[in-house]
Amino acid sequence: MSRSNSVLLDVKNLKTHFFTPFGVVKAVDGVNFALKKGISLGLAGESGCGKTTTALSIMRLLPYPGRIVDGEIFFEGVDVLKLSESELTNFRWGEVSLVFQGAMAALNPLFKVGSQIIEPILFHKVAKKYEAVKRTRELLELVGINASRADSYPWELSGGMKQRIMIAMALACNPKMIIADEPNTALDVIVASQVMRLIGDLQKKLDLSMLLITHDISMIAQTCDELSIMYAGKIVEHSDVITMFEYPLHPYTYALINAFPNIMGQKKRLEGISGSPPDLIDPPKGCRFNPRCSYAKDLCRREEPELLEVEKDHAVACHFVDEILAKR
Amino acid sequence: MKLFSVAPKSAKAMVIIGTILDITLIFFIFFGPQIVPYDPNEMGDNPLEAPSWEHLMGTDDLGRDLFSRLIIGSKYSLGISLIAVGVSLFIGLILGSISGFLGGFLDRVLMMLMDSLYAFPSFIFILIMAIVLGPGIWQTAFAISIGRVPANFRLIRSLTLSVKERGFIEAERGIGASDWHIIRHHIAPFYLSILFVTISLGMARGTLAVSGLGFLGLGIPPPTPEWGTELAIGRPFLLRGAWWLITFPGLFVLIAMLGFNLLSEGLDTILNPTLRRLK
Amino acid sequence: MERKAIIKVRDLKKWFDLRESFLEAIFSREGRYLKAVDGINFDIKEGEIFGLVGESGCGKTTTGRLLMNFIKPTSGKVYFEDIDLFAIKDKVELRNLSLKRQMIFQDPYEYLSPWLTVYETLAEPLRIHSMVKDKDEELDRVVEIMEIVSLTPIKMLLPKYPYELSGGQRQRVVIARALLLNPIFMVADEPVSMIDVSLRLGILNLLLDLREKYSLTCLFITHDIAVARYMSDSIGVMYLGKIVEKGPAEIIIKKPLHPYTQALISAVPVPDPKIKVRPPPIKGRIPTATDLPTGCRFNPRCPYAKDLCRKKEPELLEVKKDHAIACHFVHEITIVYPK
Repeated sequence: MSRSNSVLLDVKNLKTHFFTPFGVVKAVDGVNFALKKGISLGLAGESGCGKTTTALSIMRLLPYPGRIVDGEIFFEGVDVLKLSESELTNFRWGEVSLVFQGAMAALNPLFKVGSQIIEPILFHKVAKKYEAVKRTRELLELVGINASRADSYPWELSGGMKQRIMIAMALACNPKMIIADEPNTALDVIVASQVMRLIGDLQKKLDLSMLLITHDISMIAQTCDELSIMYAGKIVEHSDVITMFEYPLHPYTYALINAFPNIMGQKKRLEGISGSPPDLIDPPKGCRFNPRCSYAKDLCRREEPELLEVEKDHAVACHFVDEILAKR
Repeated sequence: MKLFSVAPKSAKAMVIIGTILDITLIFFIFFGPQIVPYDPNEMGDNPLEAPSWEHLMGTDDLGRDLFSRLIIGSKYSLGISLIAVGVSLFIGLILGSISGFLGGFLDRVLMMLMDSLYAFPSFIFILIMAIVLGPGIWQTAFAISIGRVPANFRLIRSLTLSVKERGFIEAERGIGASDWHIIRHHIAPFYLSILFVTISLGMARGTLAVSGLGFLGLGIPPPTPEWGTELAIGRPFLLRGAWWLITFPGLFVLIAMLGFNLLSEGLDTILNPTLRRLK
Repeated sequence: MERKAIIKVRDLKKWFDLRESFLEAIFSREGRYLKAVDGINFDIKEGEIFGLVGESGCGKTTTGRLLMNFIKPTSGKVYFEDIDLFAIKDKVELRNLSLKRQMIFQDPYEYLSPWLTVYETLAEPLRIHSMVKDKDEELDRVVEIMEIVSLTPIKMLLPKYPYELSGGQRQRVVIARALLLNPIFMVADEPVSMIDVSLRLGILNLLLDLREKYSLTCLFITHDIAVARYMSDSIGVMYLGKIVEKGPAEIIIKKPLHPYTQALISAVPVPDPKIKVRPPPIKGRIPTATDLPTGCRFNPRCPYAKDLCRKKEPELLEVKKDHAIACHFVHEITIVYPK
């Protein structure tokens, strides 16, 4: 499934640390990935593994006390980390927009939703007043909401509708890329599946690149082209979704895929992942997953494995990939 | 202690400065008589003498050393405040916790009572009580105690209410704990967590109240060297140029207020956000 | 061979009175009610895990709390070991029965006292009910229960406070504490939704093991039908205060009959990129329980809705052995959900 599309976003060795009074939290500690044009990439991992921090680093929206300490982020060849404040305001929303986690709370309850969608349009000078109003109505229809709802206040809308408004806002300035962070938080199952379907359709229709951040890999299986698994601030495996689900190589990937009860197939007992999520102030030495890995050996405790491409377009960070394959 | 080390610098500074000031003042309460250079009641030959090396804060119209008087005065200004804070906190704690926890009719009655008292600015209320009771140590302590009860009641009650709704209280009921067990072991620690801040803040306001009453002539009567009383006595002499008779008593009140306020604010900053962050 | 039903719920209702002002209470004829639970019936057999599934606002959490006697019903009965729970007046008897039923909640952090260490939290029920003679026996019992729930390493965890534990560990403490009272019935309300993904299975498997070992009967409340399937023997699907379908878990998952159940199942993403799930063909959103549709509650959203559905509420009727559904046109519905 690897199309020879051009690379839109190139993240190299990104390190983002939080300098807290309790110590330095190495939330993102050497992350590499590339997002091609028109492709959707799912970034999966548990809470606290660094996925949201990655997204905020790309948007340069890190809260205090976070700081990007190393690495490079290139968007269409432009060094994002070197952008000035004024260039950043164009970059954010104009090129890359973000649907936040729990975005529904991001809507201002005092203003009608229409005016909240128009705001970025006018600010980024995508269109002038009359055109902007037209565009707002178009956006609402695009996300499946009746255009007359532009005059509603957020509290008049359901959770699903508010999320659609957030998506409309994200699309307002014709960005090339969208980052969606846990878009289904606080949404009911049925509404969530409809919203995901909408996001998937829009992505294909508008030929957007998308970074989908979630702990639910099933969601990624259904919506994305590629999948990266993150653990303790690092990417441990990456490939297209079909390969990932059929031939997961990293023990964590395998365990994660099998950690979700399934409604299809036979009912069988699943094995969980032993141990606890890692401490990011003082992560385990060597491979960060080693305390919980059933294949862990001495080397794993001493040396960190690099993310290496083991077959075409399939990269893993593990010392004993061959052995694992043999055992399975 | 871990909380202290990770607190922001400003909060640490506040706590340190406040503590130093407060300890100094408390030291005066207990060891004042030992350290005063002069007997505060001894009348000397040089009345209304400006501050000098012999009399650091000058003398009053009867030749008494002001510095010594003010140090001894802390026993009254602060001591009474402490008593008042203790009593009002105790009453507020009992009533507030019962009211908040049990709710119902009792709660409504107490709330109405306390709200109507609370509607008075507390100092006016204290003033009225002081007028009714007349000047004197116990009268002043009593007036201030009662004056502060509504505020403490509300504080404890709202704290109780918010804790009562928390999940673990329900879980305690689920394992069969009695109401009393729950209050004693699971709600009371919350009271402790606000104890220091409430006491420091109470001391600040209480000291001001005592001095205020003293200044108005309703608190501790002369010749007791309570700061406010000294201020009242010294006032007429300002016209004769004896600025030190009002400046230094005022300064003591100021330092006391500053010390307690800084301590309480610093403590609050340290204890509260960090507790939240520990989640 | 037939195990007896430990829990029997009969026409249970809980309506919350929303009338705000005194005047409204006098003048409004009907009264505004939030009909959280509006007449549900089900049994749970000994050693069975009954999964109660539904989206937000369907009444499943309220049902759990009713079964635990945390709130009183508006009408209806719950029989626990054939005793009418809400008819008991004697406080002592009520207390004893309460101890036999324990609950674990969604947010383990919120349900643990921040003032007690793991040891103290677990020792507390032992002390309150004088279940041990001395400190040695107390320690033994605490260690024993920690081993049962795999709360290890024991020595390291004993002095820790809740904020120092992971979500999974906290939930294990909650479960351990509930077990100390030797309950025969547990209500688990979304016990894993606030826990990290990698730790969830540990808790779920623990509950399954406990059921095996102690024949623990369980009401498992969740919005996640995949988890419900993993855990439950029988499933009840709730919508707006009523059970719309009920039956053995595998049957409900593989051959759902009610349109809402079908919609729920078809909305669940599967971890297989080759199978693309289609979102269910139902429109709209869940109405609020104060403003219920007339007739069948699901009718505004149901793709099969006909006139009768708008007029008359369907009853929950058994169509096959142990499989009941509340729909007028059950025989006409084809199974949409792909196998």
